[in-house]
Amino acid sequence: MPRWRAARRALAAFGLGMAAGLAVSYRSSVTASRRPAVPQPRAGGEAAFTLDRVQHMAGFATWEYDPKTGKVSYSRQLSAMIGVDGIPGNLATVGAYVHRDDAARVRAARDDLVVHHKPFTIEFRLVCPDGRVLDVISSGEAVRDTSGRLERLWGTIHDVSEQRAAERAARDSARHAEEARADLEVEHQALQMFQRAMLPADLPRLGGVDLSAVYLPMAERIDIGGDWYDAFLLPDGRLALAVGDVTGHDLRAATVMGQVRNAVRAYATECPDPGTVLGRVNRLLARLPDLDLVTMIYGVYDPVRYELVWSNAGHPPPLLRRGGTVTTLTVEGGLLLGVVPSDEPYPEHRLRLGPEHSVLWYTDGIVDQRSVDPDEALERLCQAYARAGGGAGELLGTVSVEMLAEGQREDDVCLLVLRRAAQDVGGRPSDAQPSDAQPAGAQPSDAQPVGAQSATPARDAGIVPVDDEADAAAAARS
Amino acid sequence: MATPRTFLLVDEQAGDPDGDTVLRIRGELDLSTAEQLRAAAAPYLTAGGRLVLDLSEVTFCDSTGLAVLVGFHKRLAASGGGLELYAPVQRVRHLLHITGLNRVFRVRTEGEEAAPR
Repeated sequence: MPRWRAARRALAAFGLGMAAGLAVSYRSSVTASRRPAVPQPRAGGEAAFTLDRVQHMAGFATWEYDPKTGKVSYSRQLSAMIGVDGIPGNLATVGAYVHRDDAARVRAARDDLVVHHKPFTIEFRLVCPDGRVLDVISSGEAVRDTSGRLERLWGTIHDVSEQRAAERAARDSARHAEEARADLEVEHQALQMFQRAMLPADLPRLGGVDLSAVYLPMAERIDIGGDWYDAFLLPDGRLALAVGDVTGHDLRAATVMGQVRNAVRAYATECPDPGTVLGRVNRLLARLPDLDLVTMIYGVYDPVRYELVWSNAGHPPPLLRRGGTVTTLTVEGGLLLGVVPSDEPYPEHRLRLGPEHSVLWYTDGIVDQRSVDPDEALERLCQAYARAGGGAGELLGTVSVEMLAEGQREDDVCLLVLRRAAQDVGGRPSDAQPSDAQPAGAQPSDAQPVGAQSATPARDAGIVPVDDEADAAAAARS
Repeated sequence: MATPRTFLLVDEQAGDPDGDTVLRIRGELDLSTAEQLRAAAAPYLTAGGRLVLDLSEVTFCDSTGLAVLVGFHKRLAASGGGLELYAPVQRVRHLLHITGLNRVFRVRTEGEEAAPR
């Protein structure tokens, strides 16, 4: 047979693009299972049955073209794969099932095999009568006899649908994860911008006052903390300070933080007394329909009298540093804000800063890690603060580095240091010159805590009001 | 680092001598488990009901955990009921103390008899 004629016969036998001549009977009932037809023993004997079983299990079919008869035969597995009762070998058959978008590639490969005996391995899709689309890898090659004459064309069709489906699913989920991550990243950046907008861009500058504050976000964490600090000048020339923490780590927490910060500024302008301001913030929060809890320290510093008045609403105790000695100001505090709408009292406490004395306000992220005992962490914080030196900025830097160097922080942290400068600089905000003011440049001496305004006694032995020196000393740590 | 995944188990115990429901909680009460506790306790937050949370095996509690407890308290207190915390560990007692919540919740130490109504 001339080669061209054999080729044309073969092309016709494979029937690609010749669906009009297709004559196959479809299965009457189509099941949803991936491999609809489990081979049953047939007349071909045990060997053929075993081959069928193996092909079935592997999702593997073979075909063969005999140039002498011009017929194509397919292994039974192919009809099982496609879900038809049988694929007649003498008619245009498998080509009709090739996905239309893949038909040109398949045809080209087939032509190369038939005309030039060029082997191929290609992947394409088969569209089954029941609508399933199979991914198959097909190979074909020419088999020659010992004299080099073409004996037959032979090939395989391997169903890789499940594998491809799994790969697609993996790609999809990876893409979705990437998209979700990108979304979260955008949200995180928005929240961080929001949070930063709530923090003062600049701290007020006042003669004799050395003030420094920092917000340390959790870079690895997608959400944000509701920690904030604030510092602003009051109409009477005194300095108002706040450090607080809102429950939650979402946009809501950031919103509440913004509300509280603005409320504090508004209330403080009217009446800056710490007990009054915190009481009003508490009522504000407790009246909100949602449960938003806030812990906070708020205080007012008079740079003329060197006197700090503050109240604590459920917040970790501030630290006082005098020389190398650090005292935990564990005073009678009020309930954290937002729990009860009643007139919860927020006792006020006072202390006078000596030259270079400072106070440290912080949020609990710096001492509250689940792997560390909080008492030990507080002790470490006291020690780090005691060892630190220099101005407020240096103090804050040393404390941050020492506390956050080891271990993994779990939460955002805000730190604020208020320090009385060694020498007063610049003008005074008030003309009042209290007779007991420390002269500029005086040697560091113990702070002179003055009597607390609140007469509320400590309810617990663990709480020491700083209303006289002896009590402050009792609470002193080094 | 992702938020640490923590575990929390909630078991209903036989009622205490006063007949109050006791939920025994074990694990860490934080951002990742708060919702679990909220869901577990929801059926017991009935009008006028009293709920005892056995915290003796809660090793960690953060502000989100506290907020859940405050939520329970507010629900129960609004209808004349109440929340009692039984045997919180030192770490949790410390937190209750700082926040002043030890004055809001009834906190009972181990071995202590239920406070009179």
